[in-house]
Amino acid sequence: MQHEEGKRKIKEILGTDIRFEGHFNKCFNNIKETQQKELIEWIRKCKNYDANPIQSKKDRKLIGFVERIGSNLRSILTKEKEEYFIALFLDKHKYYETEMEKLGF
Amino acid sequence: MYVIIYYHKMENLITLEMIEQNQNILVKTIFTKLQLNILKKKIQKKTLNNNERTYYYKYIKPKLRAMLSFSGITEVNINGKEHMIKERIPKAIKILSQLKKKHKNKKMLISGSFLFNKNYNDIDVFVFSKYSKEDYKKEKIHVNYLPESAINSLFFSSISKISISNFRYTPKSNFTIKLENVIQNYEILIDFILRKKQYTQELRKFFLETEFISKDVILNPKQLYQLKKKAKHKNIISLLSDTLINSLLYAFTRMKIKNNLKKYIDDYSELLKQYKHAKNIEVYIKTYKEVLEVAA
Repeated sequence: MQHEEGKRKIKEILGTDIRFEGHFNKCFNNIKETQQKELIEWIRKCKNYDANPIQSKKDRKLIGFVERIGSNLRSILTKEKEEYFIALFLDKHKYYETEMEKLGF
Repeated sequence: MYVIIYYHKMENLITLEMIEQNQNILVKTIFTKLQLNILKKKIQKKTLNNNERTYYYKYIKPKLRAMLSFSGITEVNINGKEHMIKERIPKAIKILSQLKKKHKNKKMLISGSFLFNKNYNDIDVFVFSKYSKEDYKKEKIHVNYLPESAINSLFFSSISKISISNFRYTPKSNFTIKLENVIQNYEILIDFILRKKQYTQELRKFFLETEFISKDVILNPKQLYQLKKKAKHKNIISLLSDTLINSLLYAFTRMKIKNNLKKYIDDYSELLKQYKHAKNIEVYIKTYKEVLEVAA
């Protein structure tokens, strides 16, 4: 599946306002189809309150969900507490570390 | 703590095996038999008599320097040699030399289990560059690009303790690690363990940070490797939680601990009402409550 279709499926779950961050398109296109499906399934779990949330240490209104894809990719899904999903980040480990630090996770 | 640094020590670049394999060509073209025997003695760290010492410094060493100049090796910096498998040292130097052609004028460092452990997955090479580039893997060699600023990180101070590099540096030994950062890494680690995800990188960072804040010790890659191995055989969640509790109590004031952890417990207790199946939250709350009890 290409990133356009992946984004469409993700928007169906999280709403059209969701932002895609990191090198999302490139990373999504390069992972295996099984991993793409796992990513989407994990997003569904986040939406259905069936995933493990983490509290931001910088912003008490912000929570996040973190997923590991393969050995080097990471995804972070951020959410305004009790409200809407903000952004889906997908990128390599080294960029993820900077993003996690920025978000306070 | 002592770090041994070798600059331009050419005996480190050559092994007895290398000489014996190439003995015929070396004797015919570059060295006399006597010179080669002296070189072998030097490599085996045998004592040279006065005559042999003169031969070595006057005739043998200059030839070696000239030979090595063709390989592009200008400087080799070895730290923690006592922890390394001897045969791996010339191999690592050769890798650096080969990569130098591709990464001209770049600072490079080899570290990781390749240098000290019989079994290893990858050979980790770190290339320090102003520009961010794609990491890549070629056979066993895994090239990781890092910004030059990474040389001032706790991570670098740790990996460089057992390493071979083509540049000189003074590893930093003072770092400020915030309570929030230790907690953040602990939370991700627990989450990955509970969901049976791969967590080696997070575990390494956790041990590195907790050991540093509580004991002011920067673990070397071999110590981290052994700790990781040990942790995987035990009840890891309780081991990590105990490690976190002890480290926080050593490193931060009771006031700081109370202020932060009370806030985290409140936030997670609220979240647990919505995310009823989130096992990670239960672990965090239990651990943070234990910290507060001990700190009281």
